[in-house]
Amino acid sequence: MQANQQNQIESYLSGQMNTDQLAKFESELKVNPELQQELSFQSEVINGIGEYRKTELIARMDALKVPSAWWSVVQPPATIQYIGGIIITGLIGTGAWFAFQNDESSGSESISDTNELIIDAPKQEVIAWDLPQIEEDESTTVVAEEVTSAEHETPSEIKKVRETFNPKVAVPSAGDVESEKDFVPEQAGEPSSIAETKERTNPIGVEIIETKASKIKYRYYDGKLYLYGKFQQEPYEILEINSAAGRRIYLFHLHNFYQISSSDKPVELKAIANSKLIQELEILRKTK
Amino acid sequence: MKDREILEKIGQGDEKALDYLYKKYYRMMVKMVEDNSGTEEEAKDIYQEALLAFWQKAASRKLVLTSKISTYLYSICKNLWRKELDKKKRHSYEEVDGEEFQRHDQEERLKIVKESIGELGDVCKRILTYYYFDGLSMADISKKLKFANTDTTKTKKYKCKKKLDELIKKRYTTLDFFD
Repeated sequence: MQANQQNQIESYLSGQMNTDQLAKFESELKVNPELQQELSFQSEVINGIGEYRKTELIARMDALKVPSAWWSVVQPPATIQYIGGIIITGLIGTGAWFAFQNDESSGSESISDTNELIIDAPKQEVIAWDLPQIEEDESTTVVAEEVTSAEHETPSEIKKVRETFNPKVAVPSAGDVESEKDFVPEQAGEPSSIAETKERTNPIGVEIIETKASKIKYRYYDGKLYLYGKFQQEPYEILEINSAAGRRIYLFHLHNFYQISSSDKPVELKAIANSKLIQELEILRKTK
Repeated sequence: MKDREILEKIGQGDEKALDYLYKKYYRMMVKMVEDNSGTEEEAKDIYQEALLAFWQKAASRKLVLTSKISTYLYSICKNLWRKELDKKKRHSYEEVDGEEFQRHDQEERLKIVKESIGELGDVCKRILTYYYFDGLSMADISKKLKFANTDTTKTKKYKCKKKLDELIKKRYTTLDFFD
């Protein structure tokens, strides 16, 4: 394409032609398929440059720290903000000092405050009695007896019991359950901890909602994930990590990882930037 | 910073003015959207879109402000949010298959264009985006990129655009593009 023709196309696309130039160009366009193709091409290229720049500027804005709600409503001048900052820091410092002092004094009070200990003791007892349903264990029973007898003792003795109270309960881990062939969950009454693990490992349901928007969003609640974007066109993967700390869900889409958290409203997906986490997720993705 | 100074800085392509505006009126726009059944996330999208439109007009010095920048931005956000609410009511996510296919095709091409831009050097990227999106003048681009004169900038812009066209055409097959 000649430089002159490119200039003409650019002038046409940016609306910089005068009436005569426009009429001449459009009449040429009608009879020249090559020009039509080039116009279509240039239009896409210029649009693409615009989209590229938009993405760049949006990323810039996303990286900015925005003011919190209360601060911007007041919008105080810089000097007042500065003085306010000093006052708030002072107040926090003084508050922290007093709190520390109170903590120390309340700590010493708790030694003589025996009422609180008497109320707390039965709670421990409940836990001790519940656990044998999972697995009868000698150590558990001994602990339970100790706590029960503590009710009739003097407050100082109770304190001693609480300090030494160290339940040794064999709670089955998920790994143990798998390895025990004879273990039948129904017979064991399916303790709540196992039931909870089971619920956590239920596969999540995914529903795709195709949108025109360049930003991809999601909603995740009640175990169902809604993805808004161009997911039908580009493949995506869901990575679920179930651990004692809970369930973590990650999405892999267009070379990026995203973390999914519970939200009943559409939230924009933000690519994970932590390179260490990305590396680990990549390993997990390849080995799953 | 006064409105006049902000406009002058944007006219020179100073992105710090964009940062300043974004932070200054962010909470105002979020409140407007939240008061009208929207979320902060939706408000953010709307506000960013409004600011980009403002940036483009101000950078190309096509903007003649008859009100405060805040009033202008607020009215763009309000209009955009009204459109968004209408769209939600009309369930615009439902589309016919033909449109869907065409859109997919366009998006594929856009992806190729964006990837090709990514292959260019930093100077080329900046010249082309400043010129075609921000609408900065050759003089402002020369100043921003510290080029000797506007002729140097023009030549560089021409070469960069030519290189980009070639990269894109290489990725498109004749059949893909000229179908």
